[in-house]
Amino acid sequence: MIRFKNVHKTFGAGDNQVCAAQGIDLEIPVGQLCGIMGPSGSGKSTLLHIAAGLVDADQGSVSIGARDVSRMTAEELTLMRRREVGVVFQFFNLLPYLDARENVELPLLLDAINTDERRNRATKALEMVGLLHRATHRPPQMSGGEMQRVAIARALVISPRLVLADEPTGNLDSAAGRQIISLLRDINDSTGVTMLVVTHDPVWAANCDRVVRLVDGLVSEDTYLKPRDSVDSETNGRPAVAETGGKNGRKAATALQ
Amino acid sequence: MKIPAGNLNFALLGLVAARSSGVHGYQLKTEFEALCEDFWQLNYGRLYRALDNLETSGELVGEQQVQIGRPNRKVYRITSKGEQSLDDWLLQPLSDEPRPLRDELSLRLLFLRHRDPLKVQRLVREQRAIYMSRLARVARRRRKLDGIDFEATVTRLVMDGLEMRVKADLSWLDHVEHTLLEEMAAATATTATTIRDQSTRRTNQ
Repeated sequence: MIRFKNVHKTFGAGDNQVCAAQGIDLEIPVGQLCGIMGPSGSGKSTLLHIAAGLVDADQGSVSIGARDVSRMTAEELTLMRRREVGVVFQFFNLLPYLDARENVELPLLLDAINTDERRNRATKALEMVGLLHRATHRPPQMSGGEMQRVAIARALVISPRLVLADEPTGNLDSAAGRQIISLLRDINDSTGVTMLVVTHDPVWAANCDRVVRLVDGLVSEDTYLKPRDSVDSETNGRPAVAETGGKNGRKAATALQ
Repeated sequence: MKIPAGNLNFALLGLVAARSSGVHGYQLKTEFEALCEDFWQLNYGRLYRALDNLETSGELVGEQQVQIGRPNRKVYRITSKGEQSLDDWLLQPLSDEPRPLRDELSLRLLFLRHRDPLKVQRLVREQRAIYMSRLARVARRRRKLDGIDFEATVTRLVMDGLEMRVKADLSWLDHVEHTLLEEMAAATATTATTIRDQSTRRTNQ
């Protein structure tokens, strides 16, 4: 489970100050595929970066499982990112001079895993994303969709407990984007890994179990999109919306009845 | 959604026509749900009544298939009369009127008095959740359709159409929220300025 508790983050100072998080409270249970939406500047990516330990929150706490990320030392954070959290970026962030398999092996190499095991695990990860046949190709020889698959394999190779993805389809055409969407959905279904995905695309968000909308650094809407047969009977099959107030800080949890 | 029974019959004819080796009721229902869920809710009673009618009219022919260890089942095939009916229907001019924007939200917006930002936000949020769940239904149907071998390109186009409409609805909703909240913020600012000016004038007097 990942839990954000009263998370605040402000960038810049004076007139250039931007509040990216103004008290975000959010809990994502184990195995959930949760989409984060919201207008530009609403704090979506900041939330993801705080979860990944790439950015420190000014106030509040973030915990993954029982551990408080906000209290970790730099060394502990690095280890957590390397062993427990897989990150997928919009622009793939692959090394162009390494082939697909070598790119996927990278997190294991940093963790001093032996060659055979590295090879083995990278092969499995590439198989999972349907790209084993491209194992020896380098990123410049691949399409955008293929590069993103390699990046997803790289995130999965450590068998993470959490996958964070920042606009994973943002740099792809709609056909490739759709393939990446179904791939992430299938991986979540088959492995049960918790996923937090930032997106501005409602079609992609509609594949999630739940969609959280941020506005001005606060959770403004929280909608569950589970299939009808697993929707809580109390919401009668309609989408459940938990509302929290806007800038005025009012909070009222409701479910549409 | 209620659709004239005639269209349901043609949809069934179309599905049976795509299976030259024949198709049984259960498979028809599964395929029908994946392809046409947005148009009809189809239960077995209605499905078998429609299949019986199409058999009686000579557009389908049903043949009992003996199964070992399981109940026998009826396999349906289309007849030449059925194919003719289907072709005639496909060539008819469309009877559907373009659908007006008739979400309840539009109606409520027209008569929304005393625009309270919290009320507007609540309406918009509820409506957005409804649109998102519509999109989620389309997403689930796409996944179901992946397992069904039926006119992949055309079914994809139908799903694309559904998605595009809901995306347009969502953009409209963002536009409504942005415009009304901006307008209300501007009105509040004007009121505040007026009160400040009046207060300044009183002090100066």
